[in-house]
Amino acid sequence: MSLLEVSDLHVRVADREILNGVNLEVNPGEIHAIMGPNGSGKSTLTNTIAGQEGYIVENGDLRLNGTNLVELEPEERSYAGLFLAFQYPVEIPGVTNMEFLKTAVDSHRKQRGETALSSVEFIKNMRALVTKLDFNPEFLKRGVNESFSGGEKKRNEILQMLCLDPKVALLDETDSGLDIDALQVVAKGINEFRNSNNAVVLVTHYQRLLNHVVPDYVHVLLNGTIVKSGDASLALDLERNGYAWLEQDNSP
Amino acid sequence: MISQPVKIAPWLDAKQIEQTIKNTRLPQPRKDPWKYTSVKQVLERLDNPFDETNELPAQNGSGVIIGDFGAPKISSLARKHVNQIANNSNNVLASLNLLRAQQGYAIVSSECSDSATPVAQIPASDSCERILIVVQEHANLEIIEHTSGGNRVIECLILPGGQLVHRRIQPVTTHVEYNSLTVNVMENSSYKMMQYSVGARLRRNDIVINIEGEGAKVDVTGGWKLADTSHLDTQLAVNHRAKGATSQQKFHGVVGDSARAIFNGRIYIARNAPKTDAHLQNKNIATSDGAAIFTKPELEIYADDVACSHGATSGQLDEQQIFYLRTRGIPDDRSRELILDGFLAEIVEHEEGARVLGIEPRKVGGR
Repeated sequence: MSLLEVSDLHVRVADREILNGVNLEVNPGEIHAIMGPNGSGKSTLTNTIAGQEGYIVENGDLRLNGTNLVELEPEERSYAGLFLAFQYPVEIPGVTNMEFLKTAVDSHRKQRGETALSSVEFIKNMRALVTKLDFNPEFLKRGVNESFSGGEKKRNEILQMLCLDPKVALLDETDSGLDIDALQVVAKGINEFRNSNNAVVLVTHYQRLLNHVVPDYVHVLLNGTIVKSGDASLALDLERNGYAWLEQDNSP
Repeated sequence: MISQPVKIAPWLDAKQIEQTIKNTRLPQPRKDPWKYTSVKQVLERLDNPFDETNELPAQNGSGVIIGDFGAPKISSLARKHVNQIANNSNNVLASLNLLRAQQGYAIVSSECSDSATPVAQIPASDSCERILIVVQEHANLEIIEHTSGGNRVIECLILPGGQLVHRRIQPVTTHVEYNSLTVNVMENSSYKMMQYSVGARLRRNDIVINIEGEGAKVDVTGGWKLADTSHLDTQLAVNHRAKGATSQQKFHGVVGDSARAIFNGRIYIARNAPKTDAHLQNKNIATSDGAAIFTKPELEIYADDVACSHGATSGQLDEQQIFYLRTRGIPDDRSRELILDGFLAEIVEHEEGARVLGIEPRKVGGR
């Protein structure tokens, strides 16, 4: 069974149809990249999968490991094994990163019928993870994303992903606004995360991240549908030639 | 010859104070600074008998003297400052408090205490009290105050180089409560106040801080979490009357059910107070449709070369923050709780403050 299955997905935001029939099948162990110009529907796709309010599924199906996501609350989608790394991670002042991560991990454990980890145990695990990713341990004591730089915010998304160990990680423009060093740290985190039982979907503008995390499939989203799929070489073609040649082929 | 001495301050003439009250305009209902809080209810509470007088607070270690206004080492300070600090010509409520007070006492720090900062408790009381606090030159003092439905007027003087930390804890009360606090801050002294409040039938806090000496530092933070039909009104005025002083005011409030929160924060910078650095901020989150928030920051500047800012906001919980937490598996209600607790944790520095606001103590010092 595929891990993530998007079939004929039509999504409306307010009175505008943004996605009109997206199909995507992601199997265990795979890395997919979804590319497309601004306004093609990339963020609509990720927000819809994560369960953001206001994204109305008009038609089609959305399954994670066989579970139908459409009717599930965002937290239930998380329990089902979905993770969304935000394009713009949200600041939560006054709540420390450590407290936030522990609350999230404990919520997942509770859902699985497991007891909460002791603070000592949790802190020990987190310290180990942070060291492995070359993050400053001070990171954990700060308010969630509060006055974090762009790069720090994206690293924090990767940290959460590793902490929650989802089946499918959806990374929305995680590479945008990163300098080379931060990009490498993020890539290292993704490579650390991936294994033969989970899957990664990278939503991106650029080919840059794909030098460090090589996708098995590249899809081009244009005007709310996937117009072309291919292997990693498609990303290089797009980098060289842009999207215009596809738009001509697929003008409505 | 005093014909009718004031009970707690016999060197003062009650007749004369009554005359002053008669000559002063009483606070006008439904007008600033009593626009949203009934001054009538506060006056009624003063006219009705309060409970028994409470014991004097226990003396806690060395470096501080606590006693009534006639006590040795206190009486001369009391004669000099009681009813002088709280600008008695205008503060009718403070004058009325003086006439009705069942208890009056002073907390005085010793001069030049080198040892650890002495701590004095002002216990909860639902009586009518008058308190004088004096921090001697270069002395340190910490005050932990609890309020509970009384009428309390505090006058406080921090002499040059003195440092006072004042924590005020305001738990739930079913009474009408009035607190008036006036602090005169002298040269190079510092006053740090933290006020944490939860519900009350009616609670009014009048706070006036007068910066009278160069280089003084004032830092006031406060937080409230109100539910049911609670009513909290905080009127804060910081008057910069000397140059080169800094003041920082930061208040965060969470208002739910049909509670009401009123905040009026005013910074006044006199002509003779250049190089002032003063900032005031009040943020509120309403968690229900019935909650009401009235907040107003005011800035009045007559000096050049000052750095000032002020701002007030009231809004609802940020849906994007909630969504973010939920995508991490944190249920909706827990997400809201976490965000609100964090919002309050930003202004909480002490465990006792965290406890009264009902947030997890482990968050203390979280940022």
